Amino acid sequence: MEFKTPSLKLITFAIIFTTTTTAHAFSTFNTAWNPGANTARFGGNPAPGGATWSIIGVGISDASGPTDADHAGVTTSLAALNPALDIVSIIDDAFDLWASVSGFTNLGQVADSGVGFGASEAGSASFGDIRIGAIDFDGPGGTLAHGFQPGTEAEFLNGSIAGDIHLDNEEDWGGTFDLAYVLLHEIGHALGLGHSDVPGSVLLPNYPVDSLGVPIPTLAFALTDDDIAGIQSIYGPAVVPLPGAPILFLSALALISFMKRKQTSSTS
Amino acid sequence: MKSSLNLLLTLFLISLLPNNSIAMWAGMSDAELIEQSDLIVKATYIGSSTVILNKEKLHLGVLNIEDTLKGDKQDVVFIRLSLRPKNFPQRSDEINFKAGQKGLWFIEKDAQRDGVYEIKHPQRFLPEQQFKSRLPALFKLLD
Repeated sequence: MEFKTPSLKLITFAIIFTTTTTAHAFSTFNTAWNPGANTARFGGNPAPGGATWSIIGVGISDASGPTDADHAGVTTSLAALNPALDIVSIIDDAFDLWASVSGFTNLGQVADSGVGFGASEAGSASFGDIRIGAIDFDGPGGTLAHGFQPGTEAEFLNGSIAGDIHLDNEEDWGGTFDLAYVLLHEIGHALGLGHSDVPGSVLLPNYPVDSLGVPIPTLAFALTDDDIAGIQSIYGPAVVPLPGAPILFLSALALISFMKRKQTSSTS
Repeated sequence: MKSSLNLLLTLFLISLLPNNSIAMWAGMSDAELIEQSDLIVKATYIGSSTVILNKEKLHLGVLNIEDTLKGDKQDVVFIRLSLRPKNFPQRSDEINFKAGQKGLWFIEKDAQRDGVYEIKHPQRFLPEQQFKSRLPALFKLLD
């Protein structure tokens, strides 16, 4: 390729740079639900790239040691954030959505024994790798929710809070903010993603607003190319299931029949 | 012509660079930012240190102030940063700053600690490259 003017060279460089930048705009934490590392809480079965989850009940306090005023209170009912919604199904759908585009596996909901969040695992299999609960943060506005990077007590030496998600129970989850969208965002963090700067990404730090700066109450429950590139950088691409034996058999029959017909037509 | 094209391209490339903010926050309007700030200053972040204040261990960041747009004039401001035990997992709403970051800071008083301030929203820091174009509108709101 020959450049006629320096500007053209610069434009080409800009295009290459743009492509590279946007493709890597996601960020990741340095831990994930790694093979063999997160086995303590679900019976010792190694689960490469998989995690269970549970709902933190009511009246549970922070047992993770010195944190901050955000966790000064106790948890309240997650379902009460918006009684009109089936929050458990939304959480499951959000895990499934991340799993559908990557090598991560949603190992599903497990019971939660109700120990303080961030408590020592101590061989307990009685709560999920990722625990999700509602607690008072900072009143309406400000921080809507937060998630902790994935990992285990063995990695962080500070209890089981890694991967957990807390939603601010003072927000208007019915009419102002889309609970499903925020959960999709926080689960991205719990799986190991940091924030992104790509417009439209689920992992933008600020909740999307309209042209007047008003929060959009209903948002698409979907991932962008940048989100998918991010999660795949941690867990690899989605595993495409091999077709079952009957489908393989029928495909082989169809191929043989096609080849025979072709052979017959060419000899006649 | 060529230089203006180069300038446009440079500005375009700069706009693609990741910004400073790293949870999910509800956005704040300029009016809310100004109203909900005890101190608005043009300042540079110098660094942080862990100190004992009234028998409490705190991790404080230091801002060197050049100009005060709202609040009491002072030379430096201490902002409380999260104090985490070693090996504590990273939380998505923690905001960290780098030494040398310069811009406009919209700061709240720490309700629990005298003389200490807080920055708990990514919009509370406006980098120098961005605030110049927004200053006239901000000054209008400050009047």
